[in-house]
Amino acid sequence: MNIIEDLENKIKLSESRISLAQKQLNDHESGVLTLSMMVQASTELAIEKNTFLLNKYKQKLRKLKAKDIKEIEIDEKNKDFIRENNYFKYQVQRLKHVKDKSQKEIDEALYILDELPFELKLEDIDIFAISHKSSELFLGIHSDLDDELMEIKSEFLFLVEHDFNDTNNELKLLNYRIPIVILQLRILLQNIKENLNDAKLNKKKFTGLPKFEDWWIQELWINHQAYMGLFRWKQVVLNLCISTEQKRAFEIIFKNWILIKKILNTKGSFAYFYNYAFDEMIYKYAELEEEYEEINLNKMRDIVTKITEEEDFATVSNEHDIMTPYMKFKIGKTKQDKEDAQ
Amino acid sequence: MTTMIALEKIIKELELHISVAKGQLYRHSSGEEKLSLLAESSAENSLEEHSPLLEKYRKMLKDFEKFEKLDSYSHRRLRAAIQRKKYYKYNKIKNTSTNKKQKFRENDERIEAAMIIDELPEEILLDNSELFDIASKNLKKLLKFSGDEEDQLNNIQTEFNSLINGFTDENIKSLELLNYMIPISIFHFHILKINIIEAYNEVNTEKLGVGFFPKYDDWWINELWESHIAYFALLKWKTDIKEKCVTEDLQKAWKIIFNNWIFIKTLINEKSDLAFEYQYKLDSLLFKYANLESELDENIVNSNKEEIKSMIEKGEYFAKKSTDCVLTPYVQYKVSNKKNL
Repeated sequence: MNIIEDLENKIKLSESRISLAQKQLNDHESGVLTLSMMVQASTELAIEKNTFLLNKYKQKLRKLKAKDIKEIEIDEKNKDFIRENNYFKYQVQRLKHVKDKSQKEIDEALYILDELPFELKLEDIDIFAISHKSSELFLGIHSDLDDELMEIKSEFLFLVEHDFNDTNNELKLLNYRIPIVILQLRILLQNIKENLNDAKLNKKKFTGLPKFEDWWIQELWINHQAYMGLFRWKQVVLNLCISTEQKRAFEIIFKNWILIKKILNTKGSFAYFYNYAFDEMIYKYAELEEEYEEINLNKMRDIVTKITEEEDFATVSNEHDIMTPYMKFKIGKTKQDKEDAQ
Repeated sequence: MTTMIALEKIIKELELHISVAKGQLYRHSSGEEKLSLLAESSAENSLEEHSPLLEKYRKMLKDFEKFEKLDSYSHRRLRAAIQRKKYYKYNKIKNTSTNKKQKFRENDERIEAAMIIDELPEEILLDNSELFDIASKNLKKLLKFSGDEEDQLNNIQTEFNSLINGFTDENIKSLELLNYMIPISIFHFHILKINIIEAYNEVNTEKLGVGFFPKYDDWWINELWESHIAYFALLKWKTDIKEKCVTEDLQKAWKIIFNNWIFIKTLINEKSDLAFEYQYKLDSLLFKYANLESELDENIVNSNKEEIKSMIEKGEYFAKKSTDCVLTPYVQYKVSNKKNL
């Protein structure tokens, strides 16, 4: 809307307000309507205020009409440009102080704004719409994790890339798996710590993950005590987990970790460099450490021997079920395949 | 990057609103469906409100495309993440009911996101000769190859790829690592089977047939780290096969192949019913190429369990003494490496 139109509308609005107020006063005087003292005073005030505005607008309109119309347009454009410029110039400050949004919503909007290419300008309302969707989908979390994974992956590859040869190049396939396990354990650990730091849960103090021992992995399929060592170690970590989600995550991370460690162990000395890089990285990012002090290793061996002697191995877990969901699926599928073949 | 994905999602939702409203109004005007006055005006409002928004956000997305590629690697991973997440939340093998009831907290979202990260599109680019190198170099020292092994691996890989090509679920197709590991594992089992039979039959009068691998039970893998019986069952199964390996090289090869197989089966198992089809293809090919199969008869699975139980009670498969090597060669390497740093 241009300025002239805007002023004409304002004049119309003031005139109609004056005439409405005037009518109310006339009706009051003629007895058609009874106004309280207070309303009468405010109606008179409205007439006064709107008459003042009306004169102001009319005067402004006269002046404008006297000006060259082209000049006005240029003026308007310039003002628009300045307005727009200021709108985006002060967008960050403005977003920070939006009153009807929570701090979290504001932070998310600022994150989106930060991500925009410099040349792209979006209005506040669109930034909030996008940040709302992004937060609903937890896109920020996914994107940050992906960045972290990239970082871990490149660091790990840098450590191992020069040591591959004909005897160990199949380990390259694990290049893709190891950074994921490291990241997953890192996130789980952060999560556990956050929960424990929570004021309501401060009864427990987190003193770090227990150390693991290489002989458990080395002798896993030879010595049931090694299995017991790992089994107990896993139970101890599970006890550090607070939520079901954390326990579920650790079950998966543990299986992945032990499977990778076992594959590396089976490769023997051909994979030492690789195993070492894995251990160093998981220690750096997820504080998982190995015990290599002989005294402690011997002590733990004696403990494991003792608990192994006391353990009843002819048991199954509470959730034990020989008919696994996959087995049921397989039975159905095999039957179907046989029927199809006939 | 998150902006583009959010915009795409907003656009999709607007398109859906509009198409629902359009459909309702169309069916109303054609007499197919009678809308109340209120419903009709709400459909009209929806069209009126959402159409300009859709146009606005489409334009915005187009503007973005000038700066960012729409189908970049990171975009594909983000898109897959938001699709997969829904599944992870509601479909997990254990504690399903409890988990459904549990209100997910903000920090749990990070765990969830981390736990599905291995299912996002990964770009592993190995050509056939590299795959063959990976599959054969190491085991060549331990197993005899027949000469046309490169073709055999290629055939297995092609067959496996064609089997999984029909899958509609993009997430499982993107388990790139497994797509490489599985053909290798099947190939290894195939070569191992031939080698074991040949070596065994050379020194034994009682001949070994092709189906000598004992059947395994699926729950052993499922519960390996939860039920002790599962561990002993797998240990016994592994040992039974080891006994068929008459040379040390064969035993070493079996150790490697066994660990790789457990690795693959466990990874797929974790994906629960999302990967049932996938696992079934793996099992079918393992049966075809190596006569390896699982036991599907519930009674037999049960009696296997009882058998293992009684073996455990008798102390069979128990190590006679504690380890005499807590300082494994790897720990020694590690210690000396640390000293050198």
